[in-house]
Amino acid sequence: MTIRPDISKDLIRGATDGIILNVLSQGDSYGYQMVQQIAELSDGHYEINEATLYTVFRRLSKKGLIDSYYGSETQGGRRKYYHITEAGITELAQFRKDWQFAKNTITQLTTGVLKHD
Amino acid sequence: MIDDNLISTFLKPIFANYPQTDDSRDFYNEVAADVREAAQDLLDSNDATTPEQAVKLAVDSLGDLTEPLQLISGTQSPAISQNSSANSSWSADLITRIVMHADETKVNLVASPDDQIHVHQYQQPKLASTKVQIKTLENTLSIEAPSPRWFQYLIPFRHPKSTVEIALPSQFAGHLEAELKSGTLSIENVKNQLQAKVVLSSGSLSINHAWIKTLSAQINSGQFKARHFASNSLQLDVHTGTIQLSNVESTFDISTHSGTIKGNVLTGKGQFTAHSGALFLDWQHVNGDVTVINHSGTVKIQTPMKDSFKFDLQAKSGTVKVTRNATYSVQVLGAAIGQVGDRPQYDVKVEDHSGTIRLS
Repeated sequence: MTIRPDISKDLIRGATDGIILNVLSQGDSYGYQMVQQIAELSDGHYEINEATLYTVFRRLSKKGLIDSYYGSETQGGRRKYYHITEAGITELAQFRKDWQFAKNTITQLTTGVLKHD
Repeated sequence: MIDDNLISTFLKPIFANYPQTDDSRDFYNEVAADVREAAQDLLDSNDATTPEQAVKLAVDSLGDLTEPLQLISGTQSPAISQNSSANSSWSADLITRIVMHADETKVNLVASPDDQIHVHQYQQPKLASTKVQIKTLENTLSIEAPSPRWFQYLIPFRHPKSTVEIALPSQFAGHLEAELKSGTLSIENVKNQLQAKVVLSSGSLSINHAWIKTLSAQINSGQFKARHFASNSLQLDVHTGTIQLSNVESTFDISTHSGTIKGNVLTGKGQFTAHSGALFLDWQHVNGDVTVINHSGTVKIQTPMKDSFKFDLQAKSGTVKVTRNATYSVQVLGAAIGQVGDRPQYDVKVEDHSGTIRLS
């Protein structure tokens, strides 16, 4: 049996928005911290880098799903925190429904057996 | 405590090519704060020994900032948005060795516009699975360009293409070790003290207007082409394929099992070996001994008209012809040993098992 410790990045790309919204729904966060939170959530099977997060942060901000603010001075610099908005919470709920539907359908498509008349 | 200046040393070159706006400054501050914290954690956990190493590792682990920078600065044009590009830069003082492994990738070695090493990947279409993986460990920069998966070739006319461009500054004096399974490696307009070692399973290696310290290349099946190229030594081992040299200056050590060696406007000295193939060597300037060993095939050597040299040409089953005014100690159908001019400065030696030798 092949052991595959890391999830395919091609496979997970479509779920990045949902992952970030889920993390922010549990508390405000910033780039470096979110990298670690996502590694923790996936039990180390998925790593995202800050560059990807920065791109998604801006895309979600543009859609009004998250907003940002600067925290207090820490270690000589001010962290930029992100916060989920009401629209973001609604989007996350919709994402979870869509994901459940897609997951069931893909499972059916990739494991189902055709009926032969 | 991580110094702001240290962070800007590593971050500013990444931001340098983008317009300075309020948004880009805001993004810089955001990234700098994350780098500062990551670098401090690396120091605290002893994963980095110096602040410089910690910041470098933290910046490397950010990933490719091209996409967010293009998004923020509005420089991303719809025409190129389907292509993925990865861009990273390093100070040439910190990197002394570059190791490149690639499958089915085109690798271009070019001159850097500044004093930094830049690695850039162009991909079409954008595939995370074939994105170049870059790691640094001490003074080594390791670049891995994985091959696309089989199913990514299923769509006609949309086969994935990947090009990795490595830009080297003029003061770079390190080593490059490149291993390509299939693909092409080109070196263009690179002038520095690079010592390159290339292993290519199948594909081509082409050089145009380059001047490096040494090049050693092993090509299993493919082509080697060099135009306007100079190096202290050029060592080539091409199993099956052609070798074309035009205006090349070096100390040559060239061998091919089955293939042709063609050289025009050559400068230097060295040894050329072929098992079955033809060798044509037209010398502009010879500064040392030239030895040619061929098992079966024609050998034609043109020497500079003003030169004085000794020659020893022997064909076991073939003919030898010298079209220069020469004095001979041996002159028979299959051998010619003698001298051209009064003050010989080098030796030309040719051994051909079955073939014709022409010296002019």
